[in-house]
Amino acid sequence: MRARLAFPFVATLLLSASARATPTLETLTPAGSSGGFTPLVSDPSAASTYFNPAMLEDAPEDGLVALSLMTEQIGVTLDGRPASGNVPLSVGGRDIVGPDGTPIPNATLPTQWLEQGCEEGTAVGQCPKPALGKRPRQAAGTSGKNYTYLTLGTVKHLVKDRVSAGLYLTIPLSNLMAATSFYNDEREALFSNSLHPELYGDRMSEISIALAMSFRILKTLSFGVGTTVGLANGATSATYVRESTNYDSLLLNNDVTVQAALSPMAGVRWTPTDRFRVGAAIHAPHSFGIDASISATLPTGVESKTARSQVHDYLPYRIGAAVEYDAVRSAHYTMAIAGQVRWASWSSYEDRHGGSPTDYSSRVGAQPGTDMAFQDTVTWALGVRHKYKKLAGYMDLQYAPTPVPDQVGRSNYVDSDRYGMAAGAMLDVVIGSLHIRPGIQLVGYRLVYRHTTKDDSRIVDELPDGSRFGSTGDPVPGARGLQTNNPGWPGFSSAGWVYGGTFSLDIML
Amino acid sequence: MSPILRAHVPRLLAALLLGCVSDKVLPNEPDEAVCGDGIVASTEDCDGESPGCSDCHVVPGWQCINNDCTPLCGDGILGDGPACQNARKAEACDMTGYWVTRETSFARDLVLNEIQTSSSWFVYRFSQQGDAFQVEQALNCGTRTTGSATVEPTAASLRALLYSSGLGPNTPRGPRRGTFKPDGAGCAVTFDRWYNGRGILDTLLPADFTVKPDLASLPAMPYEPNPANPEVTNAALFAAGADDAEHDGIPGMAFRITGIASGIRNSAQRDFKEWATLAGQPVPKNTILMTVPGTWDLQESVLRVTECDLSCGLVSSRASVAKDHPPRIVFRFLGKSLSGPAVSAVVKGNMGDAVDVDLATCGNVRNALPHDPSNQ
Repeated sequence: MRARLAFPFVATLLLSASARATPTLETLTPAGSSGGFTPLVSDPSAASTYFNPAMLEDAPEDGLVALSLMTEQIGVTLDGRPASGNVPLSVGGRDIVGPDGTPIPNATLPTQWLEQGCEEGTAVGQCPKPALGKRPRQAAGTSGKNYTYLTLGTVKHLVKDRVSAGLYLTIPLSNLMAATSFYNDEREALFSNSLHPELYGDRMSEISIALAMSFRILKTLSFGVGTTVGLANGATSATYVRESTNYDSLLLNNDVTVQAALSPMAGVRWTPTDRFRVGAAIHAPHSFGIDASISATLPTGVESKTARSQVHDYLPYRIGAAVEYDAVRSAHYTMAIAGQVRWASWSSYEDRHGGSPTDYSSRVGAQPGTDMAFQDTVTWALGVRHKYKKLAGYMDLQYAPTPVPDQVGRSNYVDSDRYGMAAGAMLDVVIGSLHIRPGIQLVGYRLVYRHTTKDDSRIVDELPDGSRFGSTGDPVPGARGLQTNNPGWPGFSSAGWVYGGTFSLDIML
Repeated sequence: MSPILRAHVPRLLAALLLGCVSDKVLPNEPDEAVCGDGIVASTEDCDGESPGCSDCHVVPGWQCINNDCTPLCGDGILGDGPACQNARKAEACDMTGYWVTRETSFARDLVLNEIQTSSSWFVYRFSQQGDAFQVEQALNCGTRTTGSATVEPTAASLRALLYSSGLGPNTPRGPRRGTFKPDGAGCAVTFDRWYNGRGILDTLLPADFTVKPDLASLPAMPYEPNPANPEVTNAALFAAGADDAEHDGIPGMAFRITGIASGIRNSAQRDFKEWATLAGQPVPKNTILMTVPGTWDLQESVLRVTECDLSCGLVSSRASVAKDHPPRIVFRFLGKSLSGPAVSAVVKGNMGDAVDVDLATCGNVRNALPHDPSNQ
């Protein structure tokens, strides 16, 4: 019987379709629960639908509604640039070839154009209509974001002590969904010319839906399986470019498809004694995929096409285990200690453009997939739970090392180690036949200060030494040494806070 | 929850507890340009021990080309005071000596219908007898076109162009002639019509330039692009008059295209240009820098496009003469003798003696009269 059941669970976990991700759920901690940073084992509730579906068997039948506030205060500070690193204005004339005779790529712009823009005009140093808007460094940074969420959840015991089902849904109230792309290297200079925290930002604006069922096999052993339900988008844009300098005249046809996508998870819960509990769960990778296909037709009859796949909200395989032990137990008071450890396969990370951090290794002469790859992480959490009569409270501490290695090369993934603290309280209130459980859950994370100094030898020199004017062969002044518009060069630092709170109301059914 | 609460409650919470965090950019490091180190940095005009270069900026009345600063005065140029203010030619209405010129012409590309601005550079040594002058020596210093795309000859093409115009006295149709004579308070200038071919045999140019035939009346160009007949062999193109002066094995002269499209375009081109001041609009008598209007026409056949991948269609598109944008030529006087300060700063040797020296001269010529991308 167990073998027959196990097969579909394993098969389900191997389905790694593009799906709605859940970084928000991971950051907020369980709503309406004392789960805190040890939700794989502590306080079964509707939130267990996502964190460890096996716990649904022990959760009360309820209906949950919660409102969460979260603020992200992650500051990025860019180091000052030496003038010698600026791409000179002469590059704007597009008359420069590298030492091998190939033209400097069009994506290389004078640094002054990025900082000050290029005025419309026909004089030397000006740009053809409609000219170029300025993109000052870090002017489009994304620090200081605030989010609000509504969470709904429910647990239903379908067959008493045997089969239960759960639903857990978190909806951002500002943007139902946000997916913001940016490059993590010098290409971003053409867009925001800024750095952005890699694992926050738009990843905190998402709708998260989890469905799960649990099954009690033995009195002390339950398992559960579930999935997050999300979207996989496809977008095809066909354009006819009448004038390349006037996109108001562009003809455009869009073809958009939206499909449901699943990302499975499974869990197990074992209670060998009435004072000791063990939980474990595995979550398959999540991502919100957007497959974009773009075609452009020009008046000459030239047709050009390309296809790009974007990946948002990526979360890798995560496997965790937790234990909880009632250290003190009396008629009215219980004190439990809990601990959780969780491994995450961040080495498989895909960034927003579907690229891998290992893509940057080969450019700097290192072995691909080694020095710049994200690292798998192990997150630790410890906590204590108290329950006195109808009042329950908890406080947890967490340490989550960053998966991002030092960004000494051309990539600029911004992240740092994280310390977290979670605390909360819930009170059981019975008024006649109405049993409710109001509560508050607070969570805060400190992203520790991290400074990175770039290794110039690993940065793309956008104007190589020996560059010369194509028409004359004369050397280009200012080409000696490294010239780059990489927004993270010559170095940057980041630090900040992510914190918030949840007001929850559990209505026991 | 109301939008106002949604927007402000988290912000208030943040401000109360920890304050808001914002991004920062630390001040840039000071410019590393060091005046006196001999390197001309982006903020410097020059960097050398010369009275024409003060605090790494050019002293008025001097010129600094490639960090070589020379006074404008002397060798046929007069000026006021030690700084040579109001520099002017010693002799009025006289072309004798060395001149650099930039011809500016305009075309419309056939894709975006945008103006393409072209510069063609020459350096001349003229002699004048009476009102008539003629070219004694000359170099064709190439072209540069900007607009929706940038077009310029490859290094090999530049080398092939150098002596291709046949402007001097010992050439089949030379020398090119003109007149420079008093006209009221100024001088009237004419510079005779001259035909130039690029990537074509000489047989496709008029036998006698003084007849001034229209381009349309000349023998047909090697290959007018015809979508119905895109595959014409190299042999057929050569037989039709295409040339391979830059020796890349491809008919026509190679031009590098960059901008909205990139690649190499091998073209057959011929044009003529003719310059003359308008009646009643002479140039100042002793000027060392004068602009003269003119007329021109151009024919181009695109023979091959390479290194263009997806943008071959754009690279192969031609441009037509913008009839509503008249061309002009700018003459800048350098001096009368090769050893003169301004001439020697630009002309690095007797023209025609050594290709590499003449190419260096051409680099100076382009710097002396930089490309003007204006479409007016």
